[in-house]
Amino acid sequence: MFTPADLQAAWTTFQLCLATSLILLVIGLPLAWWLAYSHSRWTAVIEAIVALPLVLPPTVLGFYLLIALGPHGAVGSVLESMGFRHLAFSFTGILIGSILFSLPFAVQPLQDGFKAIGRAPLDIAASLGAGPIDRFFHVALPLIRQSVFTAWVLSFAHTLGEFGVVLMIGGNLAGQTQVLSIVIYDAVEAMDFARAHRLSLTLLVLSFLLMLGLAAWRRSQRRRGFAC
Amino acid sequence: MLTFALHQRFGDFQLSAEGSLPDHGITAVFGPSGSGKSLLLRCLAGLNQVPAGRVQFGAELWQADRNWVPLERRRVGLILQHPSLLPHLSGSDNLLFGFRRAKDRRIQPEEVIERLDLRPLLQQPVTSLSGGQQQRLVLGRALLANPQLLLLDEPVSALDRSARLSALRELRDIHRQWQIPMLYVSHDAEELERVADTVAIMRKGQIAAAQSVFDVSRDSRSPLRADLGPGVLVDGELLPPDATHPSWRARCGDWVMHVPTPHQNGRPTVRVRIAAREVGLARQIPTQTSFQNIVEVSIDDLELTRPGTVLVRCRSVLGHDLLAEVTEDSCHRLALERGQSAYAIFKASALDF
Repeated sequence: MFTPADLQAAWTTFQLCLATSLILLVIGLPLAWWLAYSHSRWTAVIEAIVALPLVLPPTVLGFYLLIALGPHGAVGSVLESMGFRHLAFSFTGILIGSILFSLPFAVQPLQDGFKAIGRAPLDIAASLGAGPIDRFFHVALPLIRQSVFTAWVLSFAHTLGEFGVVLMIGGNLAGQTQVLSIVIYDAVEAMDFARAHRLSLTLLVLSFLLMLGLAAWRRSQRRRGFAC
Repeated sequence: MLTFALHQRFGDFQLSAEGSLPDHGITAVFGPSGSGKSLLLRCLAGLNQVPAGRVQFGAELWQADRNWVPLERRRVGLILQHPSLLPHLSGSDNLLFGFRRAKDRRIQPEEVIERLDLRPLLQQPVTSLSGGQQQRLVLGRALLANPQLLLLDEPVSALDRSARLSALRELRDIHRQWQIPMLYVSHDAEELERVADTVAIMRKGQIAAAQSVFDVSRDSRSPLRADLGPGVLVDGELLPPDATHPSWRARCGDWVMHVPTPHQNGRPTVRVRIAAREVGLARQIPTQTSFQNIVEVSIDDLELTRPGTVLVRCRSVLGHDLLAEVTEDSCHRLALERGQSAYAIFKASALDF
């Protein structure tokens, strides 16, 4: 039913989604922590930058990334001069693109989670001798574990549906940057509607199941008396 | 001494608290809501940072110029109005949260569990505990962090009356056992009278010098009196009944008075409040009366406090102050006047019962 090319694209997609969502947790947690609790005047600016991918056409983000990561861009040229390859049309390139593109989907649930628990548990922990890192790992993180899960699922699912950014910086290299959404686009272009149907339906069902799982899990948590 | 100078405007509110509070005993900060007492407590703990403020505890400079000691290194226990157990931890993990991080382990878990009767609470999910039980666990947790100062912000106001009274008793017992200085913030005069050694009154962001609770309770202009009515407060030692005295007595210095039977034994000391309205005056020694406390006094002063009521300030032959409230009519009938001697008859209510 699926061709080897389909399966290869599915595997690339899965790797991209997993890597993106995990890296986003690592970046998103400290960023959300800082946004939720800092009194710095820069929080508004950073918050706006984090929210940008929500409103920006993916092609804009992809275009600038292509320029920056390409052989003549700020990042790409530095890498080339150090003897590495530039990042345009590579898996690392689309990974960077999808991390930026899904950033708000990870940061916003985490930031809301930190805000919802408030300062009180952290202040109490401090009064009991816990320093900032201790408080983060032993108080804040366990208290917002549901937000962490939500952020992980949302950024995974959102990366699954990504198209524009990958197309701009990834090109369409099988086994490297060719993800399912792009294969569907190719299939439609080539009038292969049967293949497009198969893959579209797969993505639709998969995305629905992820969202359904998340919603059901959140409901069960609420019934157990946890606030989300 | 805990000395501080904190000046900052918060919206419409100006905090201008400057002074010092004792670093021993239980010190109460009393003031109406909106007087800034909780804010002061937060600034002393290091939860709020007032620019250019100064806070010093004993030899430790907590805040001055560029010097800032964060809360986790001040070794200050925090007990707030609403119990603040960490909901993701069990009762025993909550209890030991500070102990596991403490360097000084003078206070051991076993004695705290015993003292506060925490054993039944340790295995339950903390969300299933009542408010009073949670607050006991919070207190135990704070003690086990071995703090050098306990800050309490209306810690019992969310409890019902009987739980409140027993919590206050517990606080005094804990203080007696471990001698941790406490700063107790409340707007409730009755609580302060039961728990405090020293009282500092706060009003509109400013704090007055701390005074002994006994002086404050006698002071006719004290805001504490507005809630409780005039009275005299004394600390004493409890004496159980013996062959010659069939009832309980309290010995306050050289003064022994009869008190109601305590319903909790084993506590050696008692704080007694003699409310002015419970004190009557007689010109001759009364016989055949149900009042057991009869003291010979001389009248220092008479004051018409409200129409028809006279507050009589007396001094016993042993030199103890007593306040009596009598009607203006009785005052004329007995021809009470300054310098005269009389007999004060009263009921003493013991506050620690």
